[in-house]
Amino acid sequence: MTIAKSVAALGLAALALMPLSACGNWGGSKADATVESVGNMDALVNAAKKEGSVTLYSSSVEAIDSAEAKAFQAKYGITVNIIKIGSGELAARYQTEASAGNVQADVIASTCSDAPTFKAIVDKGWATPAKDLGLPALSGAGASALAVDGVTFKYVLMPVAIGYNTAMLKGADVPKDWTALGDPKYRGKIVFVDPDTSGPFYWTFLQWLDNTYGDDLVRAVGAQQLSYADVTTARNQLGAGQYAVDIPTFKVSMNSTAATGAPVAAAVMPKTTANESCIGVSGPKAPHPNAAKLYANFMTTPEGAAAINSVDGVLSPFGGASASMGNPDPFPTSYDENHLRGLLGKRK
Amino acid sequence: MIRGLVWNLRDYLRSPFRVVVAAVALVAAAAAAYPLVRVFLNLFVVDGRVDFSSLGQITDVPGLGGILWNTFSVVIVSSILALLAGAFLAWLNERTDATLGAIGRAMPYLPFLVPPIASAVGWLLLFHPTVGTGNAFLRNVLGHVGIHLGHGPVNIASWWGLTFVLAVVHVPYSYMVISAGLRNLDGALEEQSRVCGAGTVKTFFLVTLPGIRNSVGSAVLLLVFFGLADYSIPVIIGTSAQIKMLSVEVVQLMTQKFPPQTGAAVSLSLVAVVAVAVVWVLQRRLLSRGHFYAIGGKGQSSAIVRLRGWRRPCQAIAILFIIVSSVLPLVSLVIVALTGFWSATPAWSNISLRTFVNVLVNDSTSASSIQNSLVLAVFGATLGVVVAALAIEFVSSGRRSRFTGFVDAVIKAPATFSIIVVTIGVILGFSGSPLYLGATLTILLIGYVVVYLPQATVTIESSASQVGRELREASAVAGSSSSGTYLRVVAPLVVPGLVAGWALLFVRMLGDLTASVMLAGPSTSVIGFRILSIYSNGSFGDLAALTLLVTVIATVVVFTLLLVSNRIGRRTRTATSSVVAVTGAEPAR
Repeated sequence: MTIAKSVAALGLAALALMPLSACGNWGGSKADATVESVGNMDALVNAAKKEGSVTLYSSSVEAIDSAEAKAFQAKYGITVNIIKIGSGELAARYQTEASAGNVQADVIASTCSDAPTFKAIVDKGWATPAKDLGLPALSGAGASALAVDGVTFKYVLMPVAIGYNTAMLKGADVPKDWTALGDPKYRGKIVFVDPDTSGPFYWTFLQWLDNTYGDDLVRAVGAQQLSYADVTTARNQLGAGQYAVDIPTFKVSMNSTAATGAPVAAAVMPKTTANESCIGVSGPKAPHPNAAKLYANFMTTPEGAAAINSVDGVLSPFGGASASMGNPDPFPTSYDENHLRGLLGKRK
Repeated sequence: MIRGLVWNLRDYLRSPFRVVVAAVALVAAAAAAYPLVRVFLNLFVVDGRVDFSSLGQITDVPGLGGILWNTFSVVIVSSILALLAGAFLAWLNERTDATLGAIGRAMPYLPFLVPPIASAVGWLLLFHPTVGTGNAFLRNVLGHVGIHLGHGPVNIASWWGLTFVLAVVHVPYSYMVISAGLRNLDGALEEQSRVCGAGTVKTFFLVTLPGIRNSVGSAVLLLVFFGLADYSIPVIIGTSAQIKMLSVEVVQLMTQKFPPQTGAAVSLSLVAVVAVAVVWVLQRRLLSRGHFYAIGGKGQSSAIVRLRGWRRPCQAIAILFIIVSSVLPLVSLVIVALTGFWSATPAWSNISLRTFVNVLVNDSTSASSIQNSLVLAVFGATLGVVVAALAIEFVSSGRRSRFTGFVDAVIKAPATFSIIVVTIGVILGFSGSPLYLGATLTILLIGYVVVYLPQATVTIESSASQVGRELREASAVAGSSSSGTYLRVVAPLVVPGLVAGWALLFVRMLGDLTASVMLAGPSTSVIGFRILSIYSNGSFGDLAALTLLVTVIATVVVFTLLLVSNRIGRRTRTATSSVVAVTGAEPAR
């Protein structure tokens, strides 16, 4: 065979094989499916198994979703495709895809602070309100897990902690509670996740700090020559030893950084609040609506809660959490940015 | 043009092979034109009427003045730096005795093999003002001489840092064009200048520089075009420096807002298109003025300038450029990937291959991103090369008319627009009704081919232009059909061009970020998309490992293909010599 023929044959073979390389999503949308009721669990499980998989867009911590997905997969044999994505992009992408009639995510998991997104996707008929999913655990006392006027529900709580560099702070130098942050010994050693660039959670956390400990503590923290950075850079700067303290953070995040070998740990606060993550469940236009409903229900069951609680540093609102996790304060629902900015002395 | 179309159709309907060639060329032209047409329809046609008011949406972009100032100041200064560096390296390698031979000629292209995203991440890890490994090393060294710094001394997360990295990454463009210009410039002209008593510097400014004015103009055009289109460096370095650039703002308007702010994004992108057009007009005016040297022709020689005592320092500067542009950022990536996390002082005791195992095995999203990118790069490059080769055959083999010229121009049209504009067109054209290809691998494949087809066309065209009509005529006289002539005569001669075109497309598609960030979906993640996701949410160790893997794959593929191409080139040259001997026909020069 001549060189030219070989090249031509290889080229044509490569092109011909393209449709056969079924290693990804090459196609477009599909028609609406029938969604079974949770009341008829056998029918729901069978329909979900027939769908075979469920796609989760999540801005939450990967370890939490992985634990939940593993337990779900073990019980039902249904694959969970976890797509990690930032909360802002998650909201834009889900809505863009859905408005083009091309819903890709069966379930979304994002911070409950992102109420506008949860409301919007329910108002536009792309997602089913959590209160209408018919999940047994969300009735009666369980209704307290509902959030944003019942359009979503909380599935995990992450108590807010203080991250610290274990090589720089030892013993008595490790902060024991939030008031320690005003101590002058930490001046110039704190990196604060920038609330201007990292989302409303960080302003809302400051609001809780202000509500709980008063203006003086927030003002004292602001006077510590804070360095502001995004979440990832702050964590890396802490690991690199550039700063001794990283706030606000979570034990689960520090654990994953420590697993890379970085000298970091989380100081768990006796009194704290928690970041709440919520779930949105797509409707019949989603690729796997039955598997989505089954997955949402699984999170509210004792097995689902146990999977969440197995992750060090987080707890399920559906019970079974270790007493050592404490009882975090409810997260504020709003914040006064100008007031907090003034206390911190942070310019726009 | 209509008469040309009729001629061409009549001409092409005579042979099934030529029907296929014509069909592929027309489909390629339609695929290139459709996204651009959709962009302009979206922007300028409202309710069936032409309406330019949507251009006003650009004023809705917050901080527009700052974005434009940042963009143009960075692009202009980085282009000047890249032009000077590229011209200097080209002059050293082409005109002086300070050349480093084949290695020297290959070295300025090395930054092409390191995807810009890898380069940007590498520089940030190295010279972040506080945590940069390189800065920590420099502070340590300075500490020994009594200078104690809390941060720095280098700050890559700054206007100068952004400008510098953009310049370094774009030096190959100016080197490539200017070295070609120097090769074509008759060295006898410089020789005569020196004989007349002019020194090296005076000869350079009075003879060499005016002689390569055309190449310098083309280099400036390329640098401004790619400077405005680049997304990787502005998003990594610019974001760290809190400097917002046009390309980053456009992508955010399309991906971080709901509904996507298409009008504002396209209007903003058109600013870049207008800027490139202005540079192009200036370049044409510059070329239309003044006088040009007649190139000497077959007797052309290149006079070598003896640098004497400057030879070693000049060679050292060339080597330093390679170390700084390619090796340094890779070293920082290797350190972070092996130690697992980013630290000013690397934890050498922590060295392992854990991060590579993570991205290849444990992290299923990264693993599937690599798989998706490899599949797309292989198929995209193959499709692009096949389409480009057949489109060139359509344009160059038959009767030349305004119609073939029009098809050629349409296929290359996307190259005159920013990648961002073309990608927005692909989204408008294919993501919604009736195909609903949004966030699928198919739309990524279409996007890659449309965006990179012009580059493949140009690369293959230079090989195809060497195949003279005499060879085709000799084959036809010998009784060969159109397809037989193409497969037995034309194709073997353009194989080196096809291989080079394939390698170029493969590398571009594998490390693409600009198109991927808008076309990929979370369930169709590709390498560029995943790198950005890890940068925002993940571990820098995994980030370094993934960027290194892309660089290694690109380097291995390109060098393997270059070796294959050289071998094929030698064999086809021998075969062509036989054809020439038998038929008396000569390949075109």
